[in-house]
Amino acid sequence: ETNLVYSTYVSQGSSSNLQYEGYLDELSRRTDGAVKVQDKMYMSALMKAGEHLSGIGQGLADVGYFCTGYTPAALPLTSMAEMPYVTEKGDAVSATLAELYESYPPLQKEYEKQNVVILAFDAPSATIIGVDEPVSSAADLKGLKVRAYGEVGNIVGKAAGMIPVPMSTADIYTALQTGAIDGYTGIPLWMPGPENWLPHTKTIVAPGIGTYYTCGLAMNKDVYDGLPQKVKDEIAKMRREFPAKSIEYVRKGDAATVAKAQELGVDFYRFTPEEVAAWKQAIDYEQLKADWIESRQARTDADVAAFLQTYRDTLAKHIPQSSYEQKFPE
Amino acid sequence: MLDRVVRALVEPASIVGGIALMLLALVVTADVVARAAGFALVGAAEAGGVLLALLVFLVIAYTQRQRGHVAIEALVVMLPSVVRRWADVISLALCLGFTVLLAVTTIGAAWHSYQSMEFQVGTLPFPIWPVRAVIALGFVLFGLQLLVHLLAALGAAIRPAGRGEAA
Amino acid sequence: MDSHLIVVAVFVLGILVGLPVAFVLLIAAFAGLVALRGLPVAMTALSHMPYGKVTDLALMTIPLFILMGAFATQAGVSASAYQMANRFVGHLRGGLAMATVFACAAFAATSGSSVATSAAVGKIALKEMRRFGYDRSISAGTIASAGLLGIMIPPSIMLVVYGIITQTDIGQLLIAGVLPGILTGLVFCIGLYLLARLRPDLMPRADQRFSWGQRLSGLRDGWGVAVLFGVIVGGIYSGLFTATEAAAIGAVAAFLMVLARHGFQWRELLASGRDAAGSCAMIFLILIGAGLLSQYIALSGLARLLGGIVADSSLPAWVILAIILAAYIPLGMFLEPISLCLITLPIVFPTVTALGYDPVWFGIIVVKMSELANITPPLGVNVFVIKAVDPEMPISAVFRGAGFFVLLELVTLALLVALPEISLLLPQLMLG
Ligand code: NA
Ligand code: NA
Repeated sequence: ETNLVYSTYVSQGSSSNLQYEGYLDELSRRTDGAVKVQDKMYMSALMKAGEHLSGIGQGLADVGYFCTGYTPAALPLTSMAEMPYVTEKGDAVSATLAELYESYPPLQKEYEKQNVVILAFDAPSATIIGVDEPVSSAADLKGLKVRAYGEVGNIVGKAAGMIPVPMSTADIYTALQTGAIDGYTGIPLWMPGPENWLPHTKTIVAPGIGTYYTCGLAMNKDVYDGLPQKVKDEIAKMRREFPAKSIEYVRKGDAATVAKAQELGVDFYRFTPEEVAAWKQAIDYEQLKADWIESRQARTDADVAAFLQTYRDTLAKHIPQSSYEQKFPE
Repeated sequence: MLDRVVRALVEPASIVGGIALMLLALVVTADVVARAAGFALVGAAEAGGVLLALLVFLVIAYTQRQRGHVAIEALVVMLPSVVRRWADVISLALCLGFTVLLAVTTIGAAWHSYQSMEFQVGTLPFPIWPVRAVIALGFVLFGLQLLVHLLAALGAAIRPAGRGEAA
Repeated sequence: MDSHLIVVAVFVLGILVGLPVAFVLLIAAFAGLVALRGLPVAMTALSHMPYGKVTDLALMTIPLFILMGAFATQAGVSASAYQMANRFVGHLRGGLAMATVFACAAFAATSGSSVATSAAVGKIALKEMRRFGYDRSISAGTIASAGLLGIMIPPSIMLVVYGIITQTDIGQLLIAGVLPGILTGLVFCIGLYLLARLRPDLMPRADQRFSWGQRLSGLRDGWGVAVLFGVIVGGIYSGLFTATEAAAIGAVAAFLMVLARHGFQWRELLASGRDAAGSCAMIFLILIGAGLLSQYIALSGLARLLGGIVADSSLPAWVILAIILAAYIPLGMFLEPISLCLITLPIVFPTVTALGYDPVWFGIIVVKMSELANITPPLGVNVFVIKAVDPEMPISAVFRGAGFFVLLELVTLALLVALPEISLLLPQLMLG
C-alpha cells in the first residue's frame, strides 16, 4: 500500500482539480487501495505553480498537477502542443499527447529527465476573452486592458491593439473590481463562473485562437517504479481513457459558466472567420512557428520540427473522434 | 583584513540594492503611466521581479553587518555574560553553517537554471538564471559577513577583555 | 511525530542561544523536512524557497511602502500630520494611539494586506507617537495591531483567499468584513483608553488643550499625508492602478515631497533606499524561513490530525468549534496567515459547515484568527515590520505591546462568535 502526498496550485473546487481527484479516487478503487492519497494540498499550500514539476520529480510531493507553461524550458517538446491556432478540441490534444507519450520515446524522455511519470494529460480548453465592455466586432477590443500571459498576451497585443497586463489568475477578481483591467484572456470558458468574474464581465468573446496550454498529472518516478506491475498497467490504461473523461469536465464547466453568464445578462460574441484570419495574419503565424521551433530546439536534443510534424499528424487522426465544441448560446 | 575585504564587497552591494528599490518604484510608476496613456510597457513586470531580488539579496549581508537580522533576545539577555558570549558564538556558527547550505543549494539552482536555459513566460521570454544568481551571490556575501562576525565573537569569548575592539 | 519533537527542540534551542528568527524557522523547518522526507527533498525545498518568495509580486508592496514611509518622514509630512492630530485628540487619554488606529483603518480601506498597512503607517506613526512621549511598546504594538485591519476591512487578500479555497461568495465576504473591521477598531480604541486611564505614564496627555481656531488653522499641516492618501485612494478606486502598484506611486509621490522640501540630495536618497532595502532583506529572510516551515507543517499531516479529532467525535457543535479555534492559536504562532488558511481550511471548513455554521461568518472568524497569527510570537510578520521600520526597537518590546492587543483581539473574537449578526447583517442586507 502506497500513501501519497498530492499537490496542486489550483483551488479544490476548480475543474482542473476535481478531475484529478476523481482520477486518483478511481485509481485507488481499481487497484483495491494499493495506491491511496493521504494528504492533499491545494492552491500552492505546498509549492508554487512553477515548482510543481521539479518538486514532484524531487519528491517534495509524490503526485501532483503541473502545467507546461510554468516551466516551458523543461518540457520543450510538450510545449509545442501549446501553439495557438491549431484546434479547440482539447480531448484530441490530450489523446495525442497520451499516445505519443507511449509511442514517441523522446517525449517520454523529457519527463524522465524530470524524474516524473505522467499519469494523465487533461483536455485543454480554447481561450476566451472576457471584457467588461460591449463587443460586436473584433475592432471593439482595441485599447482594452486585459490580463494576459505568454503567447496569448502577444497575440492580443499585436493583433488587436489590446494592452496585456500580466498577473496571476488569483489577482483578476480584485483587478476587475477596481478597473485596473477591463478583462481577461488566456482563460478557459469554464473559469469565469466559479472564479466570480462574471459580475464584472459584459461580453465573452471567442477569438478562435484555440487551445493554448498543456497540463497533466505527474508522479514521482521513484514512487512509480515502486508500484506493482498491475498498478502500472492500470495507470497506462487510465492514461488512454482520461481525455474522454477530462473533456466531460470541460463540457460541464463550460455549460455552468454559460448558464451563470446568461443569468447575469452577459453577452457572447464569436469572431467571424475573417476576423480570426485577420488576427492570425497580423501576428505572422509562419514566423511565430519558426520562432517556437527555434527556441525549443535550443533546449533539447530531440528534433523539434520532426516532433511537431508527428504531433500534427497524430492530432489529425484524433480530431474527427472528438465531438467537443466550445458552445456559446445562439 | 578579512573584515576590510568583506566590507569592500558588502557596502557597495547594499548601495546597489537600495538603488534597485528606488528603481522598482520608478518602473512600476512608469508602467502605470504608460498604461494610462494607452500602451503597454513590455517587460516592466519582469524587470520588477529582478529588482525585487536585487533589493533583497544584495542587502542581506549589509543587514547582518548592522546586526539587523532580528532575534528574540528576551531569553539571551538573562544569561550571565560569559555564557552569553558563547551563546553568541554558537548562534553565529549555526547561522554561518546554514547560510553555507543556502549558498550551496542556491548556487546549484542558479547553475541548473543557466544550463537548462530556464525562462519565464511573461510577455517576454525572460531568462531566470540572473535572478537565481543574484540570490546565490547574496547568500555568499551573507556567509562572508557572518564569518567576520563569528571570528569577532570567538575572539571576544576567548579573551573577554578584548570584546570591545572585536565589534 | 518524531519530526515534531525535532522541530520544537530546534525552536527552543535556537531562541535560547539568540538565533535570529529567520534561522530558527529555517533550521527547524529544514530539520523537520529531513526527518519527514529525507535530505535530498529538504535540499530541494531549500533551493526553491528564496526564489519563490522574491518573485512573489504580492510581497512587492512591503519594500515600497517602507520606502514611502521613509520618504514621508524625511519630507516632514508625518511630523506635521501628528502635530495636527495632537491638536485635535492630544488631550484625550490615548488620543494619538486612537488616531493611529483610525489612520490604519482608513488605510485598510485601500490595502488588502495587514503587513502593507503596518509598513505604510509604521514609519510615519512610530516616531511621532514616541515624540509625544508615548511608551515604545504601546506605540509599536498599536501600529502592528491596527495594521491588522488591513485584512478585515475590504479590500482583503485573506477574504479573497478564503473565498477561493472554500468557494464562498467573495462579494459577500468582503461586505461582511466591514462591521467586524469597525468593531475591531472600536475595541482597540476602548482598550487603549482604559489602559491610558490605568497607566497614564504610558500615554501622556498633551498639557494644553487647543481651541477650535488653532485646530482648524493647523489643518494645513496635514496636507502632505492627505495628498499621499488621496493619491493612493483616488488611484485605486478610479482604477488607475492596482493596490500593489499604489505602493510604488506612494513612494514616488513621497519622494517628490522630499524634493520639494529639501531639494535633491544624493547622499540622503541613497541612504534611504539602502535602509529600506535592508529592512526588507530582514523581512524576506524571515518569510523564506516561514515558507519552509509551512511546507514542513503541510507535509507533517498536522492538519489531518486536527481534522481527525474534530470529525469523529460526538461532541456538541460549539465544543468542536472551540477546539478548532483553540488549535488556530498555536498554529498561528508558527504559520503566516495565508499558509495557515491553505493548510487547515480544506480539512476544517467542511467540518464547520457540516455543523451548520455559516460559511461567510466562519470566513470572518478565520480572518480574525489570521490577525492573531500576524502578531503572536515567534512568527508575527506585522511585528517584524515594526522592527523593520525602527531597527533600534527590541523585538520583545514590540511583542509585549502586541500582547495587549492579543487580549483585545480575543474580546473581539468572542463578540463575533457570540453575535454572528455583526458579520452577517450587511451581506444579508446586500442580498435583500
Ligand atoms: Na483592507
Ligand atoms: Na504568529
